[in-house]
Amino acid sequence: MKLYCQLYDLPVSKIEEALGFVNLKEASKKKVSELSKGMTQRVLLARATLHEPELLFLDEPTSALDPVNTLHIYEGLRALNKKGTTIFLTTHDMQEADTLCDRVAFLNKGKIQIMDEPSELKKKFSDLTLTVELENKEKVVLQKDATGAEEMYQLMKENRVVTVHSNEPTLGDIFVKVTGGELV
Amino acid sequence: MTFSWKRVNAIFQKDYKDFSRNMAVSIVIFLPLIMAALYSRMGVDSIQGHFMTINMTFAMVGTYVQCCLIAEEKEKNTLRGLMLSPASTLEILGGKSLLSFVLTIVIIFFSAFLSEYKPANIAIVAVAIILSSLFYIGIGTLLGLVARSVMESSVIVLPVIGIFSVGSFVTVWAEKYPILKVVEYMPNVQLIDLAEKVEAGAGFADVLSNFGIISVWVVVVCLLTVSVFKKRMMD
Repeated sequence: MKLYCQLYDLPVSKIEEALGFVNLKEASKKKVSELSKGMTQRVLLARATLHEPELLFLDEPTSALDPVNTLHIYEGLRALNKKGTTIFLTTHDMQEADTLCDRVAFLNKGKIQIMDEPSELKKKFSDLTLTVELENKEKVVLQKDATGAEEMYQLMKENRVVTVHSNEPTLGDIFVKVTGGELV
Repeated sequence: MTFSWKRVNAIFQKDYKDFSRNMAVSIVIFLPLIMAALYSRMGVDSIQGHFMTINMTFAMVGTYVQCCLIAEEKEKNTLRGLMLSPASTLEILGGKSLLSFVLTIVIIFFSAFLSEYKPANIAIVAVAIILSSLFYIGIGTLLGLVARSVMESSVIVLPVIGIFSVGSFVTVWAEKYPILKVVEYMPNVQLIDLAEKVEAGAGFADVLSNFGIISVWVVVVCLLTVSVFKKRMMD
């Protein structure tokens, strides 16, 4: 990390900041060879973000990390993005893409099949239905139209509605629909 | 192309740490010193004898150590990190060569001290040694870039060590086999020729052809090294 500080002409204090970003401050005195796979991955991420690059390419940045550290990395990446870094993320984890990305592109056989904001994609591929869970645990699927609204009104009037969910597809569902294949 | 001493120095310090931790490579630097000590005990006091240890230092320290340092960097994928950093090709190659250069010059100095070699004109010999060290370090860098692992690098460097440390003896058969005359243009043979001329009282002007031939070798090796390095920057 010190070498990279010198190469990028950065103050050494940046190291602590970068290690804080990947939640590794407590391991700053340890040798990299003694760290676990996940911790090593975090060191690499810290090194890549040390100089706050304008453009950052990440390939499966959280693949070997536990949920706590994954969330920590997500927060750090969002903060980095807010500071002005454009992040180009490659991932098979559709949940990760949904959480982190402003725009997603589905690649299949070397070609971009579709590219848009996750919310727009979900709207585009939505079947325009709602799932309503009733007090007797029964689930009713309603259309997002006038008929559905009337049925919903009736259910609410009878005080039977427990939860309402919009039936948007996940990015994984959309990928399968768009590519006709599976995530490999 | 940018050049920052700070970056070169950072790479040099990193190399020094890597080198001091790698006993398999660092121990090699003592071989020329042992040879020089043995030669002086045996009473060898000829230019050929002195320059055998000097050429061995070039091959073992300049080429072998440099080759292993570069190959290790490649094997650990840290060379890629350097290539992606703001350090320019000149800074990376300069920084990566600085340790081998310093080691080569220091070992040659002590080898000459142990074998009691006192050149008649130290300035000419010093310039020739510095020029030659660039060639050997260049060859080491080139082989390190070509090798896929440290293990492979320590094998492919062996013929180079053989050719440049004892290759000068081939000139003995040049009379019988004229094709071996080409050996006379090798940098190690040119260096010995230069040193012999200096001992006979030659000045800078008298050894320009030797300097010229060694310089051509340096330029060719540097061009090859930079072109292979640039190729390695691409996936």
